[in-house]
Amino acid sequence: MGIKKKMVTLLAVILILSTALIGCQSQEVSKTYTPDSTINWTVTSSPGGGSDIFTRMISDIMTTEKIADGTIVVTNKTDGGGEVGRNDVAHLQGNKANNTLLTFNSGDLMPMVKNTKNRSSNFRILAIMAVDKQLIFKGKNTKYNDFKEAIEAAKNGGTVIIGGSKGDDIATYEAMLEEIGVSKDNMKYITYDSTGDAITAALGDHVEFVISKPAAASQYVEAGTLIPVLALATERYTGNLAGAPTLSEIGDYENVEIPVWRGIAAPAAMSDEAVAFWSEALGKVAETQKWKNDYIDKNKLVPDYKDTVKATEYVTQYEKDYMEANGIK
Amino acid sequence: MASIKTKQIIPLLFVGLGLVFAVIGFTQLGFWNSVDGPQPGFFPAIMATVMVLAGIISFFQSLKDDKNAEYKLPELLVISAGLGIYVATFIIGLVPTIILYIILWLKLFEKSSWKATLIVLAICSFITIVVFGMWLGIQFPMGLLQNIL
Amino acid sequence: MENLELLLRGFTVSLTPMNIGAAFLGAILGLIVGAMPGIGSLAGVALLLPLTYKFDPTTAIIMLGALYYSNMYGGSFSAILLNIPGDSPAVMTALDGYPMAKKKKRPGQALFTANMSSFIGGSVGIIILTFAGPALANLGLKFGPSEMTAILLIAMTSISWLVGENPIKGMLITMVGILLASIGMDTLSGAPRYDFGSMYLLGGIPFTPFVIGTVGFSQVISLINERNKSSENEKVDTKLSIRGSLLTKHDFRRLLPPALRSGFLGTFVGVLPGAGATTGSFMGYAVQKKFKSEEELGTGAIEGIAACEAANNAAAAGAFAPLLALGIPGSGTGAVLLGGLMLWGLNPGPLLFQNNPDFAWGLISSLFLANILTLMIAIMVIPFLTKILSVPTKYMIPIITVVCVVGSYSTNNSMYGVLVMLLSGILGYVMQKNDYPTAPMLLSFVLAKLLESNMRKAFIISGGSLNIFFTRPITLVLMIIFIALIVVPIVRSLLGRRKKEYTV
Repeated sequence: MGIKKKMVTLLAVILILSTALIGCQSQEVSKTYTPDSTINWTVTSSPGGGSDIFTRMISDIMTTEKIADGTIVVTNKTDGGGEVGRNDVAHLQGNKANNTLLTFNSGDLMPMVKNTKNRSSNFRILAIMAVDKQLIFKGKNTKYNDFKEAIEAAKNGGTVIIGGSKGDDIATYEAMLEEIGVSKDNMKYITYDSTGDAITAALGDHVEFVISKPAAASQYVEAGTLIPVLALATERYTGNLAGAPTLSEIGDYENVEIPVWRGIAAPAAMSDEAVAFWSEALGKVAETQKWKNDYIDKNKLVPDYKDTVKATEYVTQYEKDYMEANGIK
Repeated sequence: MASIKTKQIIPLLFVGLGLVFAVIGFTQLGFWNSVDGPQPGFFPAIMATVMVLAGIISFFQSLKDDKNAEYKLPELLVISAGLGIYVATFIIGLVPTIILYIILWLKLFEKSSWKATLIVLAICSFITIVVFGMWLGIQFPMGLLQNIL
Repeated sequence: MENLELLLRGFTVSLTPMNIGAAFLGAILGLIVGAMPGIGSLAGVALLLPLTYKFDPTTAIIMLGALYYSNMYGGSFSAILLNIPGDSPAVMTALDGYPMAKKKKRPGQALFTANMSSFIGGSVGIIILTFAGPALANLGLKFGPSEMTAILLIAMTSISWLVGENPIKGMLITMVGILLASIGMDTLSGAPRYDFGSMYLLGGIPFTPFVIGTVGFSQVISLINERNKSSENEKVDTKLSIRGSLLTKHDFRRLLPPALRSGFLGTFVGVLPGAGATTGSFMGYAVQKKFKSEEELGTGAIEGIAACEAANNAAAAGAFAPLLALGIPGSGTGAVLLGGLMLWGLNPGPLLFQNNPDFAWGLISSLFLANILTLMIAIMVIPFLTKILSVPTKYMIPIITVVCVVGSYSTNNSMYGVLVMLLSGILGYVMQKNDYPTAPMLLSFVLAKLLESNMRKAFIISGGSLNIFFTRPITLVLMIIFIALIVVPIVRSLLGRRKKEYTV
């Protein structure tokens, strides 16, 4: 019986110890992380643009739905095409790192990897919220009736001019050129500081076509000053953009679709607890009606929430593919 | 202090700066493309060339100018105070640096009374902490302290 | 006069106690934000945007509009009293405002001139906006890359009016501005330029710290020599009352023509894509150089203050035309307002006037309201502000230094801004000592970026051919003006020389 007694006491001790340990652990989890009273959110593109609207919408939902208490201060840092702002966020330390967010999408990642030594591994990727795609629009007085005519003209040695923003718009333009087999000299691209500037140029007939995501262009489509002529997607859009055919509909081409993911990143030094908190908070935002109606549906995005684990995996792979395709070491 | 002939040195510095920009512009950035016209190097390279030429002319002009620019010691002190603030911010943070600067400047250099020093300190703290910091929501750097917190 | 009717209806929207209160609050906040160097209207509007979510859209936009608008007034306060431009459009105000306040000992009048001209310029702008807003916006659209290139070339020639005695030095300093502006990311090719491997240079030289340094901090450096003059000698002549700051009839007669002229010019510049209030005030000042002023510009002339202050307020009003009529933000601040509109579920753009007339006309009428309110508030605070000048110089030095440091930090929340401020302060100081004018550098810094990107866009469109500058009607006219501006003075000086030769 001596042995049995010993065994029982041992078991009891183990039990007590383990519950105590679990208790400690759960206590640690529960006291984890609460956001500061001020959260800084950096956007590396111009106010009023797509990324800015995306950010302000999320911060607005977070505040009104009480997903994160405290004020969220959105700052636009556009210096050096946004590289300075991204670099600053990447290197934040300490408490600031836990309370700083960065809007990060594929249009940010591409120039960053190309022009600087900053990599996505210098950030914690918190979530991906949605996927955006582009269309090509023509101005009211553009001499081509549709994009098919423009392709013909370019193939016959004419010059077609497309305006657009930086980053992902250029990538989509290049992918499209490759598919239709037209050189950059015949279908030129003018890079504007923002999509808004490019649309202005199209309204004034200074460029013939403009490449844009639905959000920035929809009001002009409604007013009839911009006409959607090509959907750079695998299927047509709905609503007032339904008139734009995909590439395969206007000729013997494959559809070109370069999905632009819209995500949120944080400094590399953000603690695991804070990462978990924000990733979950963004998940809650993605579930709200306001997000679904006023952002996703209105701007015709594809909802695609990925939590921190999946998003990190996705972005890492995306970066790897991009670097290989462009020969960046 | 007046012996430095900056009137001659400055045009030469500008010539040097212009040369750097011109060489990089012409050789590395791309100058003209037959289809698209000017490249990133075009505009700055031309401007830099103009600057080099103007700098050379200005240098010869300056030889005739025998008045020299005078630099006074207190002026350099203001500059060093500015640079001092910059460096100290990385160690103790911006707000403490400013407080320290005002006290040191007014007490050691201007030999002002404590009353005046404190009034100036109060004004500056109000502008910095209340207006910029609290109201406009600017977060100031905290120097090395930040990593400890 | 359908517009007038609509405007009156707009007033019924904006003239509720709640909205007047909001405009009042916006105007006061704007004045303070504007007077703080480093925090421009952009940051001010951006920071206050979240606050306004609680209001209904019309009230919110009235408050933001008033804030944006009064900002232009506030910027001139610190420019005139401390020689630190509160925001970039106020750079030119400092050129005459500070000497007028300091040397002429008429700080009250200098502030009054600035406020009065802002009011006049702004009123011209708002009136044009009311009656010709959409038409003006459509005219702005006609200005593509080639037209903008020609306009900017004309603007560049105005730099030569500012260079002063030694044209070679003026040219050198102009080039310094252009080269500094070319540092950073080249947007057209998406490639870094002159960054020398530095992440910070990749971001370019930020304009606000650059201005605070070259104008403000360099001023502190020279101020140190005056600190031992007892403050008694500097006692300001004007009494601390509004009456003591009033302009004489003669002053007012000097102020009016440049203010009106700049009002029209500024409105037009404000409508142009990407130009904005800074370009407006620079152009206004440069143009004034071509007109007669009673005193030489730069020595504290009322005309100088009036020309640039009126132009920048008019430009601020002009920028609303493309914003409201077409949904195009003419400036960074416009973009934030636009973002705000969208968050409130309004669609700014071609349909705004049709779908939300109450809102659009309410906003325009609120600009009238804000303009008057701000003028009243600004004039009331003049007596208190001029007190700043009686603070002894030795105490002003640390205070201004601190404001320069904090302001340049705040523009980008970065110590890099402070470094730029200090270095450009040293640059400005050394230039001053060696008789280089700094105004051409600031002007060329602003214009060069715009000029280059428009010129290159034009060349991409034309396939590298110069034809584009001579085949489009508006461009052609502008190019003829540009060429005339260059050729005429040369011919005139050649003729003059020949005449001299004959007479000798």
